[in-house]
Amino acid sequence: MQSISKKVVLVGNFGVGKTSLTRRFVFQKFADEYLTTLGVKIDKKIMNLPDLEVNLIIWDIAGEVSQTKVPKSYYLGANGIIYVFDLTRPSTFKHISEDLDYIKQLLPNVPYILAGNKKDLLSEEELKRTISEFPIPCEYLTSAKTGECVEEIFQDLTKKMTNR
Amino acid sequence: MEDEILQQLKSIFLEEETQKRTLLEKEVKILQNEISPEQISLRLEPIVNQKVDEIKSNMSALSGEALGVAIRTQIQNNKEDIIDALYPIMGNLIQKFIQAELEKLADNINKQIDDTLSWQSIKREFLGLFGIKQNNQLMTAAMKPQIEEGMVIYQNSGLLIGHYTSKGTLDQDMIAGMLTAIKSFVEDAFQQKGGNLDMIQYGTLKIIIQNSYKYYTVAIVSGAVDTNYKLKLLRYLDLFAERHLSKLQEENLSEGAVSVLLDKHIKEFDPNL
Ligand SMILES: Nc1nc2c(ncn2[C@@H]2O[C@H](COP(=O)(O)OP(=O)(O)OP(=O)(O)O)[C@@H](O)[C@H]2O)c(=O)[nH]1
Ligand SMILES: [Mg+2]
Repeated sequence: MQSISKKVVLVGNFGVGKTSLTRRFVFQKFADEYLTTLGVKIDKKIMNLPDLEVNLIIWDIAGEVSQTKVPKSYYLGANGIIYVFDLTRPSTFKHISEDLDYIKQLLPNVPYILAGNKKDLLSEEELKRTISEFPIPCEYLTSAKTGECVEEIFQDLTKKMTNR
Repeated sequence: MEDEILQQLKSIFLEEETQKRTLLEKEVKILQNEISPEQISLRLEPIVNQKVDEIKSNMSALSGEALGVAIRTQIQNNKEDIIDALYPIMGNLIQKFIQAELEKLADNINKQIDDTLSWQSIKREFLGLFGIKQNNQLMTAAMKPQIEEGMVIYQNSGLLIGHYTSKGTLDQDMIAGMLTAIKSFVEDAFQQKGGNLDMIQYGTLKIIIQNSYKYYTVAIVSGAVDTNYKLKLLRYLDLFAERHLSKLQEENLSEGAVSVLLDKHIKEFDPNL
């Protein structure tokens, strides 16, 4: 089968769960303690599509309050972006629009996915209220802890990156 | 007659008045003179100058502390801006320092090597007197540089295009990504236009990096790598880029094809592999 490599970059504020989502996706594990990422951590997982093997090289980068603070070289050559925010911290999704504008200008035509993480920490009520506060609609509500929707975001992004 | 008397009387009675009047007139004249702008500035100047001198001499004492506080607050409030501003300057300073230290180190090593070599030859000759042959063969073989891994990587994304491995123990996809992150970090930090990182030492391994436009080629080498070997290898990697990479279009580069070429090229460089 044909095999290709794709660079995926996880971005978003610090502590929103980028490392946890990657760890859940790659190793099926979760840890409660918080070890902030320094610089960038690279992981890899092979995603099998019906007719194509996709080698995902995942760049889990250190969170920043604003995406403009992330070294540009980390974004270079990215094939897909996952923008992660924390559903329990509105400050982490207040600036989605500005951040996305910045990313789109750096990486025109590169697919991206929004993931509102830590869904397990909110009740139905709270979730409804939080969703109503989103500045733009968000497709995926995830939990690195329970694994909810984690596989899905990577799968969806892979399809978008390979135009399937 | 009457007139005369009157005049005399007048002068007697008014003498004092007249005197007072002339005196007053004089004083008015003097005062007028004194409050003229020229005079005022003449008088004020020394006073003002003295004050200015006083302020000047106290300035550093006065404002030193105030400035210090202001700067501290400024730094506290705008840490990131200040780091942004200082970063390039510091980077250059650090780079200069490192460069100087490296040169010193290189000199020391060269001197040491010279010393050791001459010591070795003395020892060899001395032992030779007793018919003892020194066998350095083993040692030399253990220290001989050997290419463990080779990689061709996209400058931008850090994705692997092709690879060579002698052991196959490393995940080259991840190494390629990490190397690219480190490389761009170092190159950003030193902000040297056109400057490229060409070697990283990791434990006993040397990571030798040859940059071309869209790609860079890496050889991970074990053993004793000296400048000579490094330059030779860099030139050879350069040749690889020239021979193969410049012809390949990004679109139809297949990992397999590049890997085959790299394998051949590396074995050509070191036939013992
Ligand atoms: N309950 C819950 N906790 C989570 C979830 N995801 C992450 N966490 C916790 O949130 C904290 C931060 O997670 P990380 O994955 O390290 O966050 P990060 O985005 O990588 O942070 P930086 O590397 O600093 O940018 C950790 O204590 C995690 O255990 C989740 O889905 N649910
Ligand atoms: Mg992290």
